[in-house]
Amino acid sequence: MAVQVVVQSASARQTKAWGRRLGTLLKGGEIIGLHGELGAGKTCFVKGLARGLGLSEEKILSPTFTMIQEHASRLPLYHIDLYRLEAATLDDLGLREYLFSQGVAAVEWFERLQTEAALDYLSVRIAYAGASRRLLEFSAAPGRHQAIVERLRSAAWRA
Amino acid sequence: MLVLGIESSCDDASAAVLNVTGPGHAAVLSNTLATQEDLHRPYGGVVPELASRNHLLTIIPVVERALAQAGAPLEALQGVAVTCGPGLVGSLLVGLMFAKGLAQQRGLPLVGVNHIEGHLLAPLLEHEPEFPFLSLVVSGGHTELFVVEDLGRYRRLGRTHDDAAGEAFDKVAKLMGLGYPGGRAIDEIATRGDRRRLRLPRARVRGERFAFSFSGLKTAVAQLLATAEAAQIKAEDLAASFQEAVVDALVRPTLAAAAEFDLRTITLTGGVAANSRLRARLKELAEEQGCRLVAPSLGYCTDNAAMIALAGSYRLLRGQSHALDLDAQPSLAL
Repeated sequence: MAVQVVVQSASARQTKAWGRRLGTLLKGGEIIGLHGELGAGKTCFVKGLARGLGLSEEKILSPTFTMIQEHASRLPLYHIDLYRLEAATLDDLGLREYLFSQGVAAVEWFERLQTEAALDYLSVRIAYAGASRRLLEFSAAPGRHQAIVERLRSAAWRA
Repeated sequence: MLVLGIESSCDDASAAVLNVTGPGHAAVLSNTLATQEDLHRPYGGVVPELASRNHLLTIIPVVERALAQAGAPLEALQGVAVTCGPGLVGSLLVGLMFAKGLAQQRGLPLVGVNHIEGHLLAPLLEHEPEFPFLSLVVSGGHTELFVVEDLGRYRRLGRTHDDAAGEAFDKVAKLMGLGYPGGRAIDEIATRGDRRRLRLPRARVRGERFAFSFSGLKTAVAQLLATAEAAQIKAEDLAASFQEAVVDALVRPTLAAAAEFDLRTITLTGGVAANSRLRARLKELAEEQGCRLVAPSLGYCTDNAAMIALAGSYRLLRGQSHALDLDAQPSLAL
């Protein structure tokens, strides 16, 4: 059974705060798959995630142009954007190396990645719920990422 | 001094030969370009892997063409300047490796150039240098504001915190179904639209007067297009209103910086410098403030090797060069 938790964010600041919470829970080797329309706040979420890893959020710019941006922090952060590809496979852009590493791979437009076997990853789905309001859904199929979603669930109770 | 410049940091491969007469002074003998726009169009932007593979095919012809047009045989060259960052690593490597091979074989001094420094000095290809000046660099990958104090002395005042201005153009064009590259398409239909028809946000970055942000504007357009009223909005009006918001967001911090640091010359470079409204508006407001706007010809605004040769040449004149272990640096800072 997949585990899932949905939280509300009232502003870009709160979206970043959720990214930061997730960032502090990461130990290396995680794949974070981000879903959401243009402007939903995926890069904004990754700015928070970077802070949780000890990076300054100013370092995080939109990766659309370069497709992959590497950052050195507590753990290497690979910020990847598949927006400009209709469909990508693990053999494109050297994705395999980034996704199965000791670092953290945060992949925007993750749904464009097509793999033969299901990947073990943590899904972050950001949906519009008003001008600045968003719904954030964290979920993971059985595997190593489930424990992280469980911890986010406890954080959601406290928040 | 005859200097060969090579630029391959993104999707254009370019080579140029300059006759350098002094620091910041040069005559462009040739400036050739192999563009890959058609190759990347189906993807709505540059695909790094495709770009570097294509550079491998074009780098030699592009250099040969530059030498032929300049009427300069290889033996006449006295130095090689090449972009070593920032950019796409695969693309950078093609130009860099070629330059290193050439430098070693001909025994020429090699100098690695920061791509942004090339953009900052591009106005000197056609105009007398008048330091210090303010420079706004706007393209698909960069949106940065610098004070150019002298050759080699640059102070960054601010940059974008999220999307580059050119990226915002491309993304909004895609949302509107206008195709790629988006800047040109929006510029064109915006001339027939009403700039004040739609109210769109001009973001300011808290605590940073000279920084930029375009992510919120992109979001606002996406939300507008998702509403029920979207069908009643004319594409021309949306394009014009969006473009005006980008232009305002670029112009306001630039003019504020010119006033703050008492700079009388403002330069505009990078691919987005091709935008007609940005050029017109910045010129108009700069002149109202007693400043002069210098925008290089279009071929020197977009990525080109002439600006790289110029930026490398003042170092070569000072006898500075890099060792052959010079590496490509995708996120090289200036």
